[in-house]
Formats: sequence, structure tokens, C-alpha cells
Amino acid sequence: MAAQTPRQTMDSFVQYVKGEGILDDKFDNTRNLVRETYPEFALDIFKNYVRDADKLMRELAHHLKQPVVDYPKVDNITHRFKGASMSIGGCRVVTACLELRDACDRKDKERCLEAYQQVVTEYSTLRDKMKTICKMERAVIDDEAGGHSKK
Amino acid sequence: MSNQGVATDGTSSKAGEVKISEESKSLQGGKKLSVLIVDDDQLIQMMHVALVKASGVDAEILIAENGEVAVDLCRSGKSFDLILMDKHMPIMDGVRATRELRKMGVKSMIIGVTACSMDYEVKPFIEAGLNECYQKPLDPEMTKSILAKLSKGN
Repeated sequence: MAAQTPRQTMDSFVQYVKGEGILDDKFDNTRNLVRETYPEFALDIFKNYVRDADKLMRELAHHLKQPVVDYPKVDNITHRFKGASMSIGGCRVVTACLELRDACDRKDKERCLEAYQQVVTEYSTLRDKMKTICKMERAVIDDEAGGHSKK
Repeated sequence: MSNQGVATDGTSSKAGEVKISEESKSLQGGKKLSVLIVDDDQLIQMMHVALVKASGVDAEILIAENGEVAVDLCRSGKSFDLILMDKHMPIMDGVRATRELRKMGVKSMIIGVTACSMDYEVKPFIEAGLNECYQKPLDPEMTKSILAKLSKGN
């Protein structure tokens, strides 16, 4: 039985992650954009997402720790986080962000903290998968650049 | 010379020349398209640059990281065929920037691209003077549709 190529391995993994509802079809749109002319594009996008999302999560944690919550600020950060997550198909993170924005709108601190925990949970799951995807994408790029997939 | 907050993306893709298909040529009537991407999110900037390039259109693409930079660019005499405008940005948001640009007499096609989905959030943005508004990120089909409308307008 022929071994799977890195691309096949990644496709299987992505299918699994989509089946879990962690990613949606926007992920594929991003992944396949300009692949022929710029093979590293998707990898750059995914790495940038994790870097930016880590930063936004730290900002959220900081603001929600304050005795008096700056709701417009938290809402603004959450909106940015939601937009970035939407770009790479992180649908469960997007849903969690919507809940947090709603809680900010109501100026309900308890609800904010609950919703924030959900964002933490969903982002932690997504981040874990994105790290794996980045490694797999790297393997696909290296494999296809080297022409090894023809073996 | 580049303005603060403005990045100039070359007309070539990173891996070689942008190929112009016959369909794309007919979309732009043979001239280079001038595109301004207004967004503070680097991820979205990258994606929208890639989308414009992937459409096959020969385009000069500038990036402005907020509405104020976009307005200053237009005020300095730069003109654009297409402006992709984010809504939520620091310093000057997309609603204000669009209103300002229309007040200045800017006739570019201004397409709003926003993570907002509720009518009450999108309505003021459209009323500020957008030609159309889409939810971000744009995808290849939306981009093709925008470029087709741009070509009809030309």
C-alpha cells in the first residue's frame, strides 16, 4: 500500500478538524489562495494568525482582570479577534467572540467572564490544530518543491 | 517615497510575473488597475492583496492602515479605481473615511469589507457612500464580481 503524501496527510487532518466543527470552508479558501504563484502564502497567513491571536488574547485577559472593565475596549479587541478568526475559518472561535461581544454590549461582567472562558477554550483548541496544520503545510511545501510526491 | 502607514505592494507576485488572462484584460480595458486596501489588520491586508493578484488583473496595490491615511492619500492627488475599505479601524474608521472621500468628490468604487453582520452596523457604512458592502474576508468569487462591476462602470 502506497504511503500517503504530505498533502494527503494534511487533507485528511483538515477534513477531521472540519468534521469537528473547528474550521469551516473559509479555511480552504485561504489555504488555496495563490497557491501556484506563492506556495508559502497559506503558511504565512496561519503563522500570522496565531501570532496576532496570542497578542489579542493577552490584551483581553489584561482588560478583563481590571476591577472596572472597559467594555468598549474589550468589545473592540474581541471584534478584531473575531475578524481574524473568520478569515481562517475558525468558526467556533467566531461564535465565542460573538457571545463575548454581546456580554460587553450588556455591560454584564459576570457574563463577560463566562464568555471569555469560552473564547479561551475554543481558541486553545484552534491554536493547537493550527500549530499542527502549520507543520503539515511546511511538509507539503517542502515535498512539492522537492518533487518527492511523485515517488 | 512612501507615506507613514502606507505600504506599496509591487505589481508582481512574489514568485514571478502576474499572468493576465484574456478575460482579465477585457475586465480592465488594457490599463493597470489602481487599488487601495484600507485595513489595520495585517492578515486581511495580505489576503486582499493576494485576492486581487489571484484575479489575474494587472494592478498597482497600495495599503493604508487606517481611514486617515486613505483620505490623506486621496487629498495628495492619488486616485484609485477601487478602494477596499474596512469599517473598524483606529484613528479614522471606514464610515468616516468613506464620508470624507465622497465629500472630497472621490469617484472611486469604494467597497466596504467588514466583519460586522448586523443591519444596524452595516447601514451607516453603506449610507456613508459605499458602492457595496461585503462580509470579510473577500473570497475569489466576490473579488471577480467586484472587478466585473468595475469594468462595467469603466
